[in-house]
Amino acid sequence: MTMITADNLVKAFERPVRVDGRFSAVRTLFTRQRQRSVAVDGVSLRIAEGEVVGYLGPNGAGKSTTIKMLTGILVPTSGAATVAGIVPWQDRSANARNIGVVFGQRSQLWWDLPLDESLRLIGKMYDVEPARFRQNRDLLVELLQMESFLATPVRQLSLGQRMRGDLAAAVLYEPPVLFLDEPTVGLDVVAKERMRGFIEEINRTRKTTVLLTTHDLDDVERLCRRILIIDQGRVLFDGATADLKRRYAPHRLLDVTVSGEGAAALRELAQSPPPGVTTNAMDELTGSFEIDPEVVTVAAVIAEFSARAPLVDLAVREPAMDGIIREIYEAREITR
Amino acid sequence: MMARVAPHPTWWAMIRASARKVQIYRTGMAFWLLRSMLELFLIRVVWSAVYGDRESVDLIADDTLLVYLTISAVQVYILPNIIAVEVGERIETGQVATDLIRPFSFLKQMIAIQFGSTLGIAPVLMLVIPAAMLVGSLEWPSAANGVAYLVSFGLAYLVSTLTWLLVGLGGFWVINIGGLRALLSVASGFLSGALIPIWFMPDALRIVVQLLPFQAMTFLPASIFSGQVSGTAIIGPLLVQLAWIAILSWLIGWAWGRAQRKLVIQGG
Repeated sequence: MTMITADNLVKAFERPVRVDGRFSAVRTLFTRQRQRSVAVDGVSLRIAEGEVVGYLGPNGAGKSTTIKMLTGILVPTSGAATVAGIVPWQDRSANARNIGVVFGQRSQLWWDLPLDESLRLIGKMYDVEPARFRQNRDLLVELLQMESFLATPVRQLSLGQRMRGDLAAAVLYEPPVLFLDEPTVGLDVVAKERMRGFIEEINRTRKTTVLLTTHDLDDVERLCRRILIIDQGRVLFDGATADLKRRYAPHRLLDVTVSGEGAAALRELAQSPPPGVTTNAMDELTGSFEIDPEVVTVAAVIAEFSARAPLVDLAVREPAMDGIIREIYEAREITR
Repeated sequence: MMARVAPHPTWWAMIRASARKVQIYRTGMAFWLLRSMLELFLIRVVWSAVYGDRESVDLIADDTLLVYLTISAVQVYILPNIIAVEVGERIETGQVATDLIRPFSFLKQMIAIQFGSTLGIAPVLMLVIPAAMLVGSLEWPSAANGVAYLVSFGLAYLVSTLTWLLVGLGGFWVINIGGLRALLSVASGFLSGALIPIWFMPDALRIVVQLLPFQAMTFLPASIFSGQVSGTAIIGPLLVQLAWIAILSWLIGWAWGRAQRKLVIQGG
């Protein structure tokens, strides 16, 4: 079943053009000229029930704006979308019951109230039955280890604690769809890992559909089998994470270490590598190479290297996600 | 479909949460009480001096005026305006995004916050009334005026809530409503008749004042309390207040409809 659809979604913002010169502030106030910027420019997507999809893109690409339309906060300039069969901005209240939202940059909890009080208020708002509420709340407190700070006012919580509270608030009423807008931003390694584990768990046990924006590619590699890359409001890539690597970075990386007498042989290999191989880095006894599998197999390269130099160690790696994403972003940068 | 008889439990939950939030800042409330008492005392001293030995000015008796001014001041303490600050801040910081993902409408949330904050300061308000009798000049109205006053003040409360909610919604167009709010706060002190009774205003100004909602917040109930209006004449001010509630509700609905298309979430 398709949980989230978007067809040619467009959001343009307009603001008055700043007037320069004398009395610029006053003239800006009365100018009729408007500047139009298109944040989302024809995004279409389909997300099935139970999928966890990573929504990536550089800053200002239009990720958050898309999320804000799908959550019903913003009304699109044109285009259509449904979330669990509902047009978000037309029936905000019905949509709200189907979705959980976490904005990493701001909290939905009540700042001055203890966390527990915020959760209770959310339980009331979403008509969670008292027995169900207690059960869900207890489970979340245990899963997210929130016992120690339940009674603390939200404004006194650390970022990691606050984010756990926000995540609990978003899933308390068991929404079938979860929108996570940079849920791990600013968190330390342990806190990030805890968040990822929790999202994985909720997706597995409740079949929750998750749309996740992030700049942390470890989030993506850990959680998302599918990613969407967007820039300047347009979708650049939509497919399996593995496909992205095949398409944008099919090469493999080979690191080798030679014994002392192999230094000369290694230098020679690095200076004129065999066809399909390029040298990335080279030190006295270690070298790092890139292999293009279209030209030569990894096995053949290893065989040739070990025949020509006394190898003591070797490692074959896939290129890292962030390298690939960086390449895609930078390639776009040039066409701007 | 049957109309829901009881309000949604979210109302009460939000009102309670908002009341609790206000009570967190206890020292603020203590200063607030001190300020109110000082003001009530000054009203008595200053206006008694204005009257001097005369018993009435423009046919308004000395003690009627003092009662009017005192009850007006007390009303100003109680009447809501936090809602404009709350709405304005939420728009300015982008926090409004999190309000819009609730199954409970944004306007209702804001009204609940306003009700809650009044409830939160209620214990202190309970102290202001006796204080007003002690340091200020407060005399109880007749039973009929007393009942009419309670109704009128309830309506004034709603007029005030809706007026300031509408001002807050202005934030969707101008982002920072601080200036507008400050201007209107000052204007409302004057235009509501809280500082100078409308009886004393020149005709032209009085007409302007009567065309604005501010008098429905302070002047109308206070004139019932102080006995300037009595008998069947009381129905007039009550109707004016009801009319304002209808007009403001319509304006808010209209503005809210437009605001949603206008919305830009600040800070991403």
